Amino acid sequence: MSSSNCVIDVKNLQTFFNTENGIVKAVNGVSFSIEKGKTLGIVGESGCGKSMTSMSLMNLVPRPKGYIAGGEINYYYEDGSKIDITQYDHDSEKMRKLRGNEMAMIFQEPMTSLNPVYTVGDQIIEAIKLHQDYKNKAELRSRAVKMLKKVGISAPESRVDEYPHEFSGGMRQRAMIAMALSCNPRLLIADEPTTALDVTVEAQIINLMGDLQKELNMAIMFITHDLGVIGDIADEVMVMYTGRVVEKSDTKSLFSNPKHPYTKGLLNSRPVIGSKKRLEPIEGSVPDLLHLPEGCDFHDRCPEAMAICKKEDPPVFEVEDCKVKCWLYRKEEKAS
Amino acid sequence: MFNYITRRVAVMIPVLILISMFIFFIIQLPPGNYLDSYVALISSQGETISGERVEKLEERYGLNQPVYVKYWKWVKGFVFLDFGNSFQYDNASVWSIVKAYLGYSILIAGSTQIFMIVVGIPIGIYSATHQYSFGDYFWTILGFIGLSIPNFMLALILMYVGYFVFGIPSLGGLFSEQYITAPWSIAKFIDLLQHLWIPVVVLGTAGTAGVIRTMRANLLDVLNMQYISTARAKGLKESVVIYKHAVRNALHVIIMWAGMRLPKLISGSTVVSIVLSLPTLGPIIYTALRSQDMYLAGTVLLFQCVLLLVGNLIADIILAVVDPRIQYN
Repeated sequence: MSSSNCVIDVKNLQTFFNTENGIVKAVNGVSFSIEKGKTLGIVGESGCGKSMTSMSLMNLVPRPKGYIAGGEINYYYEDGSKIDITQYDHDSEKMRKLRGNEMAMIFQEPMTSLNPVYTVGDQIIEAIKLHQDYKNKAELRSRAVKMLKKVGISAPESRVDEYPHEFSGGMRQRAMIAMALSCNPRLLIADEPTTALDVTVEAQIINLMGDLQKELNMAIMFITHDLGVIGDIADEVMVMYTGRVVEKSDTKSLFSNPKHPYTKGLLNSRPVIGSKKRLEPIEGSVPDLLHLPEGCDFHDRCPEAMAICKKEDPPVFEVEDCKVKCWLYRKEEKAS
Repeated sequence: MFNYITRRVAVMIPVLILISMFIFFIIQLPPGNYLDSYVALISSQGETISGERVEKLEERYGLNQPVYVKYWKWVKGFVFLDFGNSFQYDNASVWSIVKAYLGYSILIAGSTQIFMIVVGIPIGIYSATHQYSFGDYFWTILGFIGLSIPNFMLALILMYVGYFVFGIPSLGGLFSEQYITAPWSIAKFIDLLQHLWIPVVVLGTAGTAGVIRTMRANLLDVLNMQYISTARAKGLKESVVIYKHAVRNALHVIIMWAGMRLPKLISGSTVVSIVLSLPTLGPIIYTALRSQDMYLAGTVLLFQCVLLLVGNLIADIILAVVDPRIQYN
């Protein structure tokens, strides 16, 4: 797993929340790794632990209720040395040097992800000043202008002094990307960066991210619930359900040959242009993480559920280079 | 910004004219006038006063004139700080009475305001950033106690404790005896500070508790905002995240509240001022209303309205400085 190109390697990550009613296992045993220049897509319905996985990587799990209960998050520096994020305090210097510098994050809500009381430029400069060696104001400012220009904001020299409320949603997301990329991070975590945007803007942002990824050769972890988007950008896709990975495979085979019934359900609930087929949404909704059903978490929504699904939680099976957490693939593994 | 302030001040003039009419109308509402309560006071002391004399006094004070004439007599001298004369203070001019008390009223109100903000905001920040910790509960409980104790009660308790426990002879007033008539000096100022903290604590406790609660709630809201995660994700120190990014966004309500609070500190200080024998406008308006000393009562009420308007203007200006989204054009 830890080849020289590996940027981040997550092993059996567990992120829990203490609530009045018990422990919520928001992320439960998630493992993955991302290589330089590659994109991992994470899909799943709301509340399946996607965002908490990304927050864990940044070591920004909402405290004091949330905490990383187990596992490893190994980040590999350019020189090959590694750091296990789970071992460091969120406010420790090592973590702060990592955040914004080595790994950066873009959030879901561009409308609220910039602080309304500071100018866009000030907020970008704040990040640059923190991690880079630009000393004087003019240098910092020209760097911020350059970043805004890079993400396609017109008239960046004047817009750098504007406040977030003077930017449109798409522009704010561009500004966020400019801020995230201002220190040339090696890992970019994008948590549903296009969900709140128009489709036209969405396409622009996706293309922009793709271009910048090529330019900077960074790893991207792209979270979305939109399978259409994931097909455009991701090399590998991880499907999450109730805090666990239910299927992991390369993007092509996920679309052409989905294995897990949940993945099939997700694909069937999405409209395909030109197709007259009725949409088939997945019945029911994501179960309460405090009251997970016995056996497989998905069995009571699963159209292919078997007797064993109600009793035992399935392990992960390897099928044709894919990993699937479903009893349906038990035989195939035995056969292989 | 300058244009905005000028315009706001200009708008205040018609507003104040309307308010003055309203105040005068309300003051005229209770039956009778100053003479009636004066006659009642005289006769309660066993003396009599002839009807003829009452009529003559009525004539002299102009109390038998129609309302609009009395109103005009009151307002016509406003620009020259002439607010008519008081009945109960031997016909002294209202301005001379108000002037004597206004300074201390504003001093006490202002100090209380500063006290509430300086004490309340840091505790509110602590409570929000240490939600559900021991410290948070401690301040919450203390805040509720502070909110629920009536001011005069707190004043009495402080005086009692001061006298019987610490042996301080008198916590009342703003000066020790020897300084009351003395000219201003450093010693007198120090003496003032030694006395000032008591009314400030008494008047400010409830408000401080309010500031703590408000600050805590607002900051907790702000800390859940996306831009706080953004700030953390940049790699900023937690303290910078809190103080630079969160607190500034949580101040709106406190600023608005502080602006409206200014006149309340004067009317709210009435009972405390009587208990602590403080030279503020609170007791003045209380006696003026009781004895139907209409020009004096009306003028004090008017000054409270001016304070409210000025307080709101200051709050609006500070808000514009704190939040660039607020633009006054």
